[in-house]
Amino acid sequence: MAGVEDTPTSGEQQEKKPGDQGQHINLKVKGQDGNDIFFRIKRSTQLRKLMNAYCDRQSIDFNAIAFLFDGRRLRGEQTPDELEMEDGDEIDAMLHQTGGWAF
Amino acid sequence: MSAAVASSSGRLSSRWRTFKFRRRLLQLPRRSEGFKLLFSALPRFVKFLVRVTLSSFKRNKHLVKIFFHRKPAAIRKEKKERKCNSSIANSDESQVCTSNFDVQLAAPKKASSLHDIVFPSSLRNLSSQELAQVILVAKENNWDKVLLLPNNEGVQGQDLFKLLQGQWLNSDIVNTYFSLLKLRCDRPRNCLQTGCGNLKFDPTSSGHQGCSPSCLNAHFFTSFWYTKYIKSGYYGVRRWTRDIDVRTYDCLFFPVNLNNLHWVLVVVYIASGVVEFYDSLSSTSFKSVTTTVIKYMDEEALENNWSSSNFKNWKPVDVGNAIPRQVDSNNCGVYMCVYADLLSRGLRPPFSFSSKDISSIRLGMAADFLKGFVC
Repeated sequence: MAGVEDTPTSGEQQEKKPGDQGQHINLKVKGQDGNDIFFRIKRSTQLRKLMNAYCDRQSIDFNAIAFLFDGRRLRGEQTPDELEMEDGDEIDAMLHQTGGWAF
Repeated sequence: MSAAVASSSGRLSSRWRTFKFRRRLLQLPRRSEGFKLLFSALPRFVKFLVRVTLSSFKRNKHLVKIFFHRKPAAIRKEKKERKCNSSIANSDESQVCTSNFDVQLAAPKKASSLHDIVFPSSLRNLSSQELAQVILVAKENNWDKVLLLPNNEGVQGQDLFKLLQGQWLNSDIVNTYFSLLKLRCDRPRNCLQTGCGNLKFDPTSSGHQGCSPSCLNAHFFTSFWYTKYIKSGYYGVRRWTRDIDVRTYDCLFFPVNLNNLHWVLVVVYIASGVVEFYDSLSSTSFKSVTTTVIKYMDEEALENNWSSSNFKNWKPVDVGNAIPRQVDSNNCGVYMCVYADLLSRGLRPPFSFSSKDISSIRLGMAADFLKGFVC
């Protein structure tokens, strides 16, 4: 996964050089089960890369998940720059819901 | 003469005996296997033809439904009523109209004459062009993006396929339909007056100054809101309303998914502090869902330093029996969408649709998705 470095442990984050803080951004993807996964991507990288990496990691189908940022759906073609994301921002990964009847 | 008859009948009975004997020999049940026996005796190409037609019918059940779909029951009633009215005008026979009295009873509150009865916007007679488009989608399950709205909500071909086949609605369909309703509420007034066919509304034009008087100034939350709020509390959804001030709206719509099984709708009227609960089944979740929404409203009020006058007494109301309810096991999402559609137009229950109209409503919703707006 070039361009996307996931850092599940907080210790690895300190190894990053302070020089590329301007270009890179740390994002947290919060799953519905409460597990957080941290990603570090370029501000100009399309979020599709992050989404694919998350789905690979969790072994879930890409179409089974809706990614939300502040309650709004994210598209794969959008970039952190475009969405004016800040360092440490949180993305929600929600499983698609369905319903028709309850007992 | 009589001897000849006796001999022929004797021959017949002997044949019948041999047939019975053979059947016993083959150990066939009497009638059920008869058709199979007959079928096996057919030539091979006839068998092939029969099999192909049967399987194609089975596979395209939904298409058969669409081709033979009846006009919505409510619209049929209206037509009948119109005929009735004209006949009254001609001959002053008041007895003719007795059967249509229930229509007037079922009408929304302000409906004094039948022309004021408002149906769900997805319950309408589709034009042949719309129907052709819907059939095209129903035929091919492999459409990619059918609709993508500016807020990134959208439906794919497989979602529409589900919608047309009468399956459970998923969050994509629900959220996209609610986004379409939101767009309609934000649509400037002059566009609404030009009529459904010539709509040229600009989704970028914001603000509610030009909002249609019939549509409420409403905000629609996504269906993920409830799940997220339950999981991580107010902190998890704090930023979801950072661009809007909830108080500026007449009402808020919360589509709520319960345990990945059931859809219910919660509507919050800001000015009166009423929290209404719309459930197409009489489920037991009224208290828990409304308490959660009220708790959120309280926290939102605290966070934004609202004056404490109106949020102390949020009043939950179970609308209960005043609305049409589902009689099947897969349409609660459709009911929820129709409730939201009617309520966002400022209408109040009782509503004029029934379980008979659901298949037509599903078709209408699919046509709305293909067009990209709700009338």
